[in-house]
Amino acid sequence: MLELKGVSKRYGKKEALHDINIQFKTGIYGLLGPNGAGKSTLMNIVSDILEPTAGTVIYEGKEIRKLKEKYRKNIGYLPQRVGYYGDFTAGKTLEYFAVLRGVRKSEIVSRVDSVLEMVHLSEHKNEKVKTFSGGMKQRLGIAVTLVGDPQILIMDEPTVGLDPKERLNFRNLLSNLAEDKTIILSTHIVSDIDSIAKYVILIKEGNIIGFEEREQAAKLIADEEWSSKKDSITLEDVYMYYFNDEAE
Amino acid sequence: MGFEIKKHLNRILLAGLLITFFYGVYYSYQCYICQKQNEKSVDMKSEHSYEDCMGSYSEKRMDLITALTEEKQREFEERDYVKVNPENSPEFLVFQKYQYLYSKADICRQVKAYREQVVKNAARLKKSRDTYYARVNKKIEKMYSRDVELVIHDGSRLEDIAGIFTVSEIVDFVNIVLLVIVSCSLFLIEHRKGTFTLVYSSYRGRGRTYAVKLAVAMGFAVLLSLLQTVSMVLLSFTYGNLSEWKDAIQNIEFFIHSPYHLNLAELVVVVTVLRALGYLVLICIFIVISVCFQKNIIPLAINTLIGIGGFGLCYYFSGSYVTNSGTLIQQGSFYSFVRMYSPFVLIGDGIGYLKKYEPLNILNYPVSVLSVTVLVNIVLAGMIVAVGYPLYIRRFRRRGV
Repeated sequence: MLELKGVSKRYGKKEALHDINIQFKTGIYGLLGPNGAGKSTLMNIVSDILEPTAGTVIYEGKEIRKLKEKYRKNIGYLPQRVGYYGDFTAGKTLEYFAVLRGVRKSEIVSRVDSVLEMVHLSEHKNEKVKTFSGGMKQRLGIAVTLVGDPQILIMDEPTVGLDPKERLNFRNLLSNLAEDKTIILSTHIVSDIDSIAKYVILIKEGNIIGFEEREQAAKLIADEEWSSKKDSITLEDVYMYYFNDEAE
Repeated sequence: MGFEIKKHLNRILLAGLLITFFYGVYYSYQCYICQKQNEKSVDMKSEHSYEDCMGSYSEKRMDLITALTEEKQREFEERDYVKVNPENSPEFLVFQKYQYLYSKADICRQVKAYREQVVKNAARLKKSRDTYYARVNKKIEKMYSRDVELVIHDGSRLEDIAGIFTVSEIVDFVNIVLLVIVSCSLFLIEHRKGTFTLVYSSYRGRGRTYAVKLAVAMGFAVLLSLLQTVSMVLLSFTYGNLSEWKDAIQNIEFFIHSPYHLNLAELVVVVTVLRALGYLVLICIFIVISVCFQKNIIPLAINTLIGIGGFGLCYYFSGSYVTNSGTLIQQGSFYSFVRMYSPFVLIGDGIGYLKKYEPLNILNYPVSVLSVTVLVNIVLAGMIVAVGYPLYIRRFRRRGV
């Protein structure tokens, strides 16, 4: 189990996150919020890239800053913007990250083939990454996240650049993985979360303003005006209700 | 480690290595050409006494060479004095051959005389009441009383290679630039390519990645030194007698006062190791500068300034060049200080440490400048590596990604 206790992050005078308290168990957690809400900061803290100004992140009862690489062995992080070594092939890229993620030498080849299959890049294994399209690079990024077989997957806008078919494949993939993993997914595309997330987390201006099971998302709108429509409230409605100002 | 190497192998690096290699071979080629010209110039097979002049130094052999040289000089002057181009006459060329042997024999004589005198003085002075002075002279007596094999022959391998090592500034310069490029590339590639967060959030993305990059950088520094040496001595294997590799370094004028019992092969190894140490320290400095930045351009500029500027300053203060007026600038106290602590002197003038015995008083014990320099630079490299690690790990935690 992953837990954030009183996590705050301040950049100078600006508070990017304020007193975040949240627990993550197995399943898919959809993180919804507008630009600048603090999603990426939260993800960077959970993936041990950034240290919180206050509070702690706890994994299996221990603080991650004490666990250090033992914690990182259990996470796979796909940031919003990711680059590659253009002269590496897809296979070589995954081999490299497999080594970095602690995959045993004897298992690397099979693991690489397996994740390439998952993201439908097997036939491009020996092609250089610099020849890939944006969508292919994004799929490769997903493969990199999966190659270490981590317990916790943290993905920031993972479906950017994917066509509808690949987006569907991605959702199916995550649904299968979510049975025994914790997946934290941050996206602007509500439909990505709507179809697969078990929980929805709303974040605005560094604060968690809502945390509910997806199927109970309507409960997040405690507005009498909406009470008559509560059976037909969608996640999209919830998003627009809370973040309409930002969208405008 | 293979991945780190593959990331950085590019045309610029390969071009730089090729320049280093070919420039080193160029120096070696110049010696090769001189040697071939000497071999072709005159056939000494008809000179029956010539072979007798070669061998271990002895006073008898010295007298023989002196007599023969004077004889050949007389022959040349009597027969060819009035010719237009006396320098090309066979008599003159034969005379030159004997003159060369004479110069070598004279060096052996000077070495022998010097060592005997030093030992005699040291034996007397080691009885001094001054503890440090007594220790120095005891050490000198021990070092110089060991036998050195002095041989006379017409081979020039020892002179050629020692000479190449003293004029390798251009290759050193190119190599320092390569070190700057490699250090910046190694430690900034993740930012350039946008893979920083992927690597940094990985199990082995911090301490081990730093260690691997450091190992690659240090390996490169050592490889550069080896490549430089190999290219410089490569063509010397194609001429002369291979037994010259066993010649004691005291057989040439540069090392007349040297207390170190090294032969030519050992000299090459020592200079290579000293140069490698200099490159190691430099690349560690460049690494620490690189990990403080995210973009290439600033550390490239700073490291180039440190590398080229430092090398240039040391070259200037070493007096290894002649001024416009034709006078040699003497090495001053600043250079003496720099020699002990600067990696640039290890790179450009490593051979100079072996020229004579230079003790320093460390708590009343004589310690050679060479030992102090090696120790200081090893400690410096270690400290720099230790400082670099926390900088590398913690660099972006506070600033954010």
